[in-house]
Amino acid sequence: MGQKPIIDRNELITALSIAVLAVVYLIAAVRLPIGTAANPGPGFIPIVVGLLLVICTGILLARSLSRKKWTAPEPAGTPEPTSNLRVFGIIFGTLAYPFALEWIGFLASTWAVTFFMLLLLKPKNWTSALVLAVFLSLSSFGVFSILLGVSFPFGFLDELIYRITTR
Amino acid sequence: MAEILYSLMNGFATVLQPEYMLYVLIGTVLGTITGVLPGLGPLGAMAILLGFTLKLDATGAMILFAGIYYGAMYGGSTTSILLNIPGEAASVVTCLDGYKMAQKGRAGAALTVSAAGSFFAGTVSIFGLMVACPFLANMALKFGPPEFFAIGIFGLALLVRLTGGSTLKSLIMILIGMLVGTIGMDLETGARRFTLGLVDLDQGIDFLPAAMGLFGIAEVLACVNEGTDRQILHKVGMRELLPTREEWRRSLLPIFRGSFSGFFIGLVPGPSPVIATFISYMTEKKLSKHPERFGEGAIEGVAGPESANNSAVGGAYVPLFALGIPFTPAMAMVLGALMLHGLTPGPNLIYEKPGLFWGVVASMYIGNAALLVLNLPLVNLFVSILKVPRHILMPVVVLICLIGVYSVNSSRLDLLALSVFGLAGYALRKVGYQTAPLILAMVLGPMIESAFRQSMIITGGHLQGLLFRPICLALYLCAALSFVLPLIVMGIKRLQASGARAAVSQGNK
Repeated sequence: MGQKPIIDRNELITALSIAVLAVVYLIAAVRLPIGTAANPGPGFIPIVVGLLLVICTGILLARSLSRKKWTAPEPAGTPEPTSNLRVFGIIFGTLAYPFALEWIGFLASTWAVTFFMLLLLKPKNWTSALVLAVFLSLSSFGVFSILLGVSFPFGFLDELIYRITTR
Repeated sequence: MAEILYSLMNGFATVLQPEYMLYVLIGTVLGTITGVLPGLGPLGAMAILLGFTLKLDATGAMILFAGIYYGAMYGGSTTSILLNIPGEAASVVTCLDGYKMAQKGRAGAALTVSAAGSFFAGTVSIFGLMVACPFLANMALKFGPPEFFAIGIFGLALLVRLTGGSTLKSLIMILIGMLVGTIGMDLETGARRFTLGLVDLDQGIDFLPAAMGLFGIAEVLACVNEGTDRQILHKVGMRELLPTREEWRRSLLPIFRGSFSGFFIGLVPGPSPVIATFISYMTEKKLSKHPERFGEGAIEGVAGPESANNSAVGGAYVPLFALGIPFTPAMAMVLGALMLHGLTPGPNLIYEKPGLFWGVVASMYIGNAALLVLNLPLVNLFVSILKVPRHILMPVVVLICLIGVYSVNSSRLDLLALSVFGLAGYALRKVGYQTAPLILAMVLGPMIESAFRQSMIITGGHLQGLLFRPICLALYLCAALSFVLPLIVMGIKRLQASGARAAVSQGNK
């Protein structure tokens, strides 16, 4: 019915990525001192690990190329294109957080990242996302910074809240 | 024995003070909540509270941490059973059959068996901790680097076999875990390995961001990627909590076996509660007359591992208290808390601070009882944390992961590692890789490397010194058997099947 065998692309991409990682790691490992049998150096185990990883990924790659799957109609529960956007959005949020944290302080960055993620997952709820982000960032500041004494980079908002609460 | 009982009574006298009882309660409730919330396991909770324990005395801090550890084991099983989300790594195995039971309307039975098993296991391990501690500590003291190397190899070999799915993929995950474990400064020579010139990477990649990324962030991404908003919560009524007589009967031996094996596994290095669950699951599957039920809602697959992980918690305390060596990351946190209070754990601690040691032991008894009494009736309350709509819950989990990771080292690199591991974990899971072996190998890898190098120095580079010591040999044989036995069993089954087919065809003729 128009179906033809194709190589599982995701499987192949993953195998290729791991293979690249393995080769790069092995090249870096070879540059480390290997030592002797009676005194193995810092490069000994990495070389063994790297070699094994190269061999295993080689087998995996060969398997991925030889094993084909049949194209089938898209299953009912296939993620919508927007869900991939959400995945990358969340990763973007977590990647941006450490930079924002040191730039604008804990409160503002926590608010911004939370607001962004809430909006990403439920785009129509602007107001509730705004309010919820304020609540979550304030409560996490209260619990972690004030109650538990965890030190975070302070921005102007943190300074203000800290002065108000500890006055 | 009389001396132990007297000391235990003193421990109870200490812990029954209102202040310490409050810490037991706070610890168990916090532990349950952190166990329920995916991404924030006992390690994260302990890490966050490490600084806070400075405001308590050492006994209070230890009691709080013990409560968190036990509570997280209970809480983790709740979400594994009801939502197929392991709150922490030691509950991953519980998902396999616990969630299937929930889908079949037996969530209450799974929860009760899990709680009862955990209670029994907790009691066994506490008994083991207080009675067998000196003996086991002496035995563990005789282990040299070759034994530790053998334990590591044995653990990894079992991991490949236990993870399920493709053996090759499990092996690749273990090798990647070991690869990550080699990043950072080599402790023996001071050489920098794979640090890309970044000073922050000298200490290596921390366990916490990797674990939170692979289990917390990756879980969030998987949930977000699901197209439809599935009904994830299985509500449990009080009446449904009672298992049937048949379910009790099938659970008793797995609970018993899991409790004892878990305690002994808790004594070995590595993430022992996690390994204990895998070993218990494999044991129950092997011993079962119906192994095909496993993965389809077998109560033995819940009872055994849940008992084993709780028992391993008690076991993990033995090397810390007896030798001063933390064998699990969570014990490293406990060690950190003790050192913050100016205490050095080791054999002397039990004699110099008997109130602390026996107070912690007594608090474990009380904590276990409190968890059993509180958690079952309040299971819906704890799980209601997860009733919060997913579009709100997921950002909250991400936020907790971010704050939890940052609070430990205040490191931007840790946060970046969290994101990278989160994305990698999500991508790997999508193509059928299990991430549990990666995280375990990341912990075991440095230990194996260090043990190997020390062994080679001790033996002058002769491999026989590494291989042919009695304990080592036994462990290597067990590791080899874990690979060979399934092949033999498979061969026998094939022979039997072909014999049966031949008999049938002859009969037809």
